[in-house]
Amino acid sequence: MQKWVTIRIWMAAVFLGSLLMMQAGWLAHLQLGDHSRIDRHWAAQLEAPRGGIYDRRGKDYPLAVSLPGELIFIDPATVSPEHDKVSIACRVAETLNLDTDQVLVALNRKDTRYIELGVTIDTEIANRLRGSDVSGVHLVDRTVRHYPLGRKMSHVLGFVNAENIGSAGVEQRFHSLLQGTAGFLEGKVDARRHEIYRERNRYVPPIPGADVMLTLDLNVQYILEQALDDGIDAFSATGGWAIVQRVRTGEILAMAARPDFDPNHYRFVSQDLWRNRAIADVFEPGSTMKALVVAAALNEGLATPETMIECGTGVWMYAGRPLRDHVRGKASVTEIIQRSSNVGAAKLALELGNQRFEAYLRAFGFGSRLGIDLPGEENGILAPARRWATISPTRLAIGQGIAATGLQMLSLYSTLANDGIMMRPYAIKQVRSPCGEILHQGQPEMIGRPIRPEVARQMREMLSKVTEPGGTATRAAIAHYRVAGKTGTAQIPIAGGYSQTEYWASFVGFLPSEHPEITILVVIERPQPQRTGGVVAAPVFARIGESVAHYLELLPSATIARSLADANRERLAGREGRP
Amino acid sequence: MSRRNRRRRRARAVLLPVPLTGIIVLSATLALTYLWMDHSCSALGQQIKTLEQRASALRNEWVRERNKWAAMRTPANLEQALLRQGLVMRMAHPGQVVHVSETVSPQTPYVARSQWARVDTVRDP
Repeated sequence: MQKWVTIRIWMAAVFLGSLLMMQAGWLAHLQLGDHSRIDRHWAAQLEAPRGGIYDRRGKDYPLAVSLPGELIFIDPATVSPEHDKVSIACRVAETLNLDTDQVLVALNRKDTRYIELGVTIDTEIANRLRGSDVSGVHLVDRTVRHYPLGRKMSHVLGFVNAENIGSAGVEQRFHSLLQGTAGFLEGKVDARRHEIYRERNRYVPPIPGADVMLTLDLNVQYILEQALDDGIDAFSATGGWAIVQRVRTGEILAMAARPDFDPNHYRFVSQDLWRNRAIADVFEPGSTMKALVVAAALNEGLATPETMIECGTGVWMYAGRPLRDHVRGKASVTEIIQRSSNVGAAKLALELGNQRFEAYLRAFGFGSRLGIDLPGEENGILAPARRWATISPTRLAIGQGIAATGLQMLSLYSTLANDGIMMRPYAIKQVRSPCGEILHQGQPEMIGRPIRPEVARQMREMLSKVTEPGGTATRAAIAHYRVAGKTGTAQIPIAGGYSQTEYWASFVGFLPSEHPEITILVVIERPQPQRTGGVVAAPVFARIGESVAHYLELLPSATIARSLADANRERLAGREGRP
Repeated sequence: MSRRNRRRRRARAVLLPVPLTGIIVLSATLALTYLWMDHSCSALGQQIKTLEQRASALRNEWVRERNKWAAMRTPANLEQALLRQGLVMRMAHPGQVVHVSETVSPQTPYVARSQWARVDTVRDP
């Protein structure tokens, strides 16, 4: 009996021992064995956060940022039979501001399991759609490029397309620096496809993209866009563009074009609206070109501000073609500018001669890009002098037969304001990597000096008369600041000639004229019923100029005049006191 | 009789030799240690993963909040906020701004000498 008990004990022990050994073996096999047939391998590319775009004051003023958001889509096959499709559609439509019928149609579709509704960065919207009574609607994490200003500055900023590629503006120009470098993660997952951290065998963290700081100022941009929109509305115009530039450096402080678009919804507008018309569209500048002709004539010593020119009786025939003018009789060169005489400017152009005239046009940057650091800049159109017709110089002098970008016209006046020094316009202040390394630094760069400083000073004085009583742009005058500038009213070319009803009204000028700080260009396209630069564009200029001068705390003209007088007195006193 | 039985039982009670027992105990200890360390590593890994997710969520939240704050400070929003409060604000008129030249030399006093004298008088009666 005792023996039988012992045998049973041993059998049980052997059985349990075997079981334990088998389990131990199995555990060892699981833990240490080769399981290459079971695919636990897992690899993922880690998206690098795209760098931000900021205004000139830095990171506190974002203009384009990448935000964590959610992609919302419908999978009709996953709608629970317990839920009413109509109530789901109502809730989704109300939350996403969509059409209820459209959502209901999507919920009833049988041919697809993926209908994209859009993306959102609003967590409240996402939470509302996550409710237990909303089935069939799914949300997936997605980084969303967001432009907090909406339509403002849209042409300068550009946008990022569905493939995350910068496709216009700064987003396009600096895409390679903004996009960063993707990271990499490689490891193993458990049976539930969750990463096993200790099995992570490769981790390359993503390198975030560089941040771009613009030279543009959010507040100046706001002032500019408000004034431009109001100007376009007031004259029922079809479009327009405007730029503010700092004279001494060439920095662009603001730039806008109309019609515009919202880069957050770029897909829903025509591609034509993506174009930055301030640099990518050319137009005939009209009378604003007269300043160049006069500056060239003064620089060549062919005339002085007091030189008198016979402007005729209202119609001047040259090479068998009439040129009309509202200035009659003799007028000084200053009056030609002040009252915008066509004949006077044309006669000065003839005095210059074709070769010299073309040389000045090219020296001021017409016919070629100025090299702004934004994509899409156009050359403009300027035929070589050897191909000019006999009347060409008389028409070029009044801004016909030449096509220029808004930026080129702005640059011409900035050069006159800057003692004849032409600066390359730039819109990017700095590109900085996340670790603080400066990858690109925008710097003032002189690209030419087409006229002498004393000629530039004479031009400033003459252009100041335009906004004074008797000039063509008294509406561009600003209290406390002396403004210099020139109006332009150009007929829009059509097949076989020029339109008699459609015009470009423009004003380009700078202030304060004694010590210019900013240059402003305003172009309004097809204004109605008024269409002259002095009536349509000059008030917009004045509104921008006044607000920007206050915002930038520019010294008023009287203070400048007093300082200059004090400086002169001190200089004279110093001379007298010198032994 | 009973003493012999006890001795026999004692002899039968030693079922495993000491070295084998030692090996088994050592193996068991090693296995348990391995399992404990394995579990600790897994727990730490899990903790790191959780913290990674938390850090990512916090970063996202920070980015969202920063964006909201920036959006609130845009000129358009500020203007609307002022309108809601019925406030009308304008830029200072150039005539209302006192410009102090930065180029004034240290020897040139900003305040007239007579005014300095008056200040001195007040301080030292």
